[in-house]
Amino acid sequence: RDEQPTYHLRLLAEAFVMKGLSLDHQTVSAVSRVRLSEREEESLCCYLRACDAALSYLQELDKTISTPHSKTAKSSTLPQPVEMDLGYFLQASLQSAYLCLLQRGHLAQGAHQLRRVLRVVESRGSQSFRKSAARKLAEVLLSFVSEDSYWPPLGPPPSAWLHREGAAASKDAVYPTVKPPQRYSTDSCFCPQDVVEEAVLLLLITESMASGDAVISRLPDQAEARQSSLQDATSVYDLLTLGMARRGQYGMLSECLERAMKFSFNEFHLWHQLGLSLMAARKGVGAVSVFKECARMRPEDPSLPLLAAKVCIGQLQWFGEAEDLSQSVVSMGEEAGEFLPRAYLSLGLCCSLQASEASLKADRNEFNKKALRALSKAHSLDPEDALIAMYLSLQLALVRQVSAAIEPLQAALSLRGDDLHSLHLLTLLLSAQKHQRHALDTLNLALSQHPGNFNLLFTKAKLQEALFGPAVALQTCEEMLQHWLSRYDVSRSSETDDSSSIPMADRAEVSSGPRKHSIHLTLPDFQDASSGSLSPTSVAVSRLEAALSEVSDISSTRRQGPTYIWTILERIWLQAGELFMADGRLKEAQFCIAEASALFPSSYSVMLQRGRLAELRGQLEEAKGLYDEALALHPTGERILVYMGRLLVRTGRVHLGEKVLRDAVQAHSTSHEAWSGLGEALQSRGSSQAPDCFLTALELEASCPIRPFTIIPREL
Amino acid sequence: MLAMDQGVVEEWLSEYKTLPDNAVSNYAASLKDKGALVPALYKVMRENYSDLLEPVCHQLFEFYRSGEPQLQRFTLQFLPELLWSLLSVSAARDPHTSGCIEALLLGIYNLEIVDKDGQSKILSFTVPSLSKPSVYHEPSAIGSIALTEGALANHGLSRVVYSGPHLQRENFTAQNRFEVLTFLLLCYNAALSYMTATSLQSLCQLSSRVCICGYPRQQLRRYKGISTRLTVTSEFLVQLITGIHYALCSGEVDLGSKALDDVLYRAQLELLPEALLVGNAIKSSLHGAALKSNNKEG
Repeated sequence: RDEQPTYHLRLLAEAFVMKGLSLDHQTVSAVSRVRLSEREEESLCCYLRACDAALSYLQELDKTISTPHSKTAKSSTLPQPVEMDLGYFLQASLQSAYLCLLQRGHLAQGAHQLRRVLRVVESRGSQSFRKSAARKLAEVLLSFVSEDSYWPPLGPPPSAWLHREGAAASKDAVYPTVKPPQRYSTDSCFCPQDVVEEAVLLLLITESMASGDAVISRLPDQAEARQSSLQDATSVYDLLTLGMARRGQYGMLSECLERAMKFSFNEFHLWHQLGLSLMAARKGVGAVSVFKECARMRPEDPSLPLLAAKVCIGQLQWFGEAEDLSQSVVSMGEEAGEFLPRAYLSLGLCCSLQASEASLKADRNEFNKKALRALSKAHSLDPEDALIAMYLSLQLALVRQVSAAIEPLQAALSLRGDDLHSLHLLTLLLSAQKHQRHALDTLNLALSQHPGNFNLLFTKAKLQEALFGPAVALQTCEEMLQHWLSRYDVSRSSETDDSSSIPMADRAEVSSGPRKHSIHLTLPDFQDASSGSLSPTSVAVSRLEAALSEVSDISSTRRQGPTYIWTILERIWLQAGELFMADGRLKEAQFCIAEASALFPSSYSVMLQRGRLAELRGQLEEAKGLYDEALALHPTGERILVYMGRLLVRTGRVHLGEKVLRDAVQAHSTSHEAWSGLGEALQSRGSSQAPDCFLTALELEASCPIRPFTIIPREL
Repeated sequence: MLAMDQGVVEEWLSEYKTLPDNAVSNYAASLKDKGALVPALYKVMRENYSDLLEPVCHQLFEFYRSGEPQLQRFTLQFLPELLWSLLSVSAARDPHTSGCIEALLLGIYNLEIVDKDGQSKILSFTVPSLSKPSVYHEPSAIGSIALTEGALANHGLSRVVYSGPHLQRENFTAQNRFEVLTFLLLCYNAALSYMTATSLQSLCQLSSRVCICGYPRQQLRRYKGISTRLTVTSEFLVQLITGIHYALCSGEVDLGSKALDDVLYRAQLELLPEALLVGNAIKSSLHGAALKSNNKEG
């Protein structure tokens, strides 16, 4: 048999497909249903044999072509995709089997046949056929096969499915194969385990072929070819998007779409998809420039600049850029339709954020005014939008119009009663009006809907301190440490590292499962130790040592995961340290601050607290040095400036202190502590301006929330 | 509700209770012969104050807990309807609570987040790579990826987690609501091939309503129910779209394309990139398919 000439296979394939086609096209007059299905069966059989024969033929053909040339060809090129014209009947032999199965609604068998042909080792002639077969299979998998009904690529379709499609069994064994084509080996290679894995694999294979063949030339006579290769490629990328998005793989998707750019000049759809995938993968800089390009292609679409603005605000902190983008939508006016209120919201947020950043008072006022105007306009355009109402209220709160802020907030809460930020803002507004009890009640309500939210818990600690003293607030810190542990179990396996692109929400709460926690986080309590058998000091020392060794353990080896979770831990320790200081328990405070500084030794908040501790212990020089370091890291930090200024005044360097406090007032005009500090400085040198400062401080203090309003994130 | 429907539901409620353990799988197979049952159950869920809702939810949970796949799918087919009941009731802040629906949904969630041995289920996914041979290709044959930076950086297969581990939940809060509902939709989507046309239609309706209630577009759809805007998350919409795509491919063209448009409308207003990506891709592939078939006819 081996000596059969290659063209025999071709003849065989064409003969079978012709027979199949003629069976299909025979007029079916007055045939019984049984006869009809018999004939369908027969034609299908012909197609299947034709397909195998055709694939074998192409493989054999490859051998005859490549052997004589192999010596010369090897040096010059990799196997080039040679466009071979197979002719109508050879094409038909390759495709008829699966097309006929799919057309008749036999999805499982169609998919099975597609898998069989794709497992055949590729040859030069089969490339373009493989490209469309792989895409077709991916399409069938993504459109008709769900996770639970998936069956592995090497096995036959499940009988239940075949049954549902009205077929008795798969057709594998029914016909004798002439000369089976060679297939890819199945050992030690990747075999997909689920439907999306298989679809993505197929699409990546198709993509590598499609982008290789893409027609890039923009000559007019190539236009049609270009258009059709673009359409092919687009359909591959669309399917790829479906698969990757189901698994949250936006980073990888954006890389694939980036490859499409070489033939996507001025093709809006692919550019738009690239921008969205970059945004979803949090690659902000790229996303913004792609969206701008999209907006150039479709200047009438208001969503494009707004998408870019959202990235600028949320990921990049490019507020000026975001302002321009939002402004461009605002100036579209009525044309922007339902996006207009959103555009005003975006504009308002940019201005509000720029106001918080501005160092000059005049700039700040200007930005605040603009923000308020934009947000009021947004609210009047769309009073039903809870987000807009909440941010309007926040803006009023930021400029300390506390009672005016309540009204839009009520609107926001009536639209969305359990919203985190609205409830938090209400808490802060109540605390600014000095209704601390109401504030705490509201906060507890918010916590019942958002249990374990650290931002809320920090506010709770502050409120408790104000109402019941530091000891009660320390319990909340203890609670936060427990939350932190259960949420970010650091002993977890490294599967969920930061580089994986699983959405934040999924990653945020990692197992608290049955695994034992690897570290223990408890607040120190050196007082209780007296009841134990060890002497207090030795207990303290041993606990301190134990804790420190644990901490250094975290900071060196096991500190993994995103930085923000460690920042939260740092802040919890610092909060506890502050409360201990307020309670006069300096030893415990030192312990907490040491924990924090082990995490981030050079953070300005750690420096500040170390400075405060030194100051409380009377080590004023050391304190000043630490404040200096903190100030070097964060030159406009409100509390750093205030403590530094006061310390200078206290140590007799009144003029320098006054200067620092003036800086504080300049940068934080609503800080009553800065104003009263300045007042003290002026008083101590007998200035007549001192009473004015105290008055301002008093006025501001009357509207001061328990934590600054800026802790509420401003995002689109 | 008609007395006849009530009778059907009551019979269903009592029949399963008296069933001996060894008859469960036969019973599961016979469920699809009870033609009047499923429509009657939908009526119970759509009615506002039905006395039957509580026992029905309870029994659906028993079905799910039985572990029998057919019974589990019987319960799952009502998931879209149940989600809508839950969301619309909590949005309307109706004093009438939906306690039994909440309990059912949380019950399914808590069962689904663990595997048979009670360990947290972690769903992971292998990102295929062309640089490793597979049942469908040989890396050497693919020349174009040869030495690009990206290909080198991602050399080899990598395994990533796409869902889990999830925490047990005892009640719904604003914080966990969408996390739980998104996970439930993930379970529903995994069984899409087994879902009936009615269930897919209900999914499309859920998608439309969640996305347009309270927005000007609601008038266009002439939906008269609640008119409060519901919160959504991007991941939730992505799961909805996955279901809508399946519905579109299974012939629910009318409801499906309306639902897709509505989800895209909302995703655009809220600037949600993930939902927009998937929605655009489906729209474009449908458009491409339409072009193709036009060419064939022409």
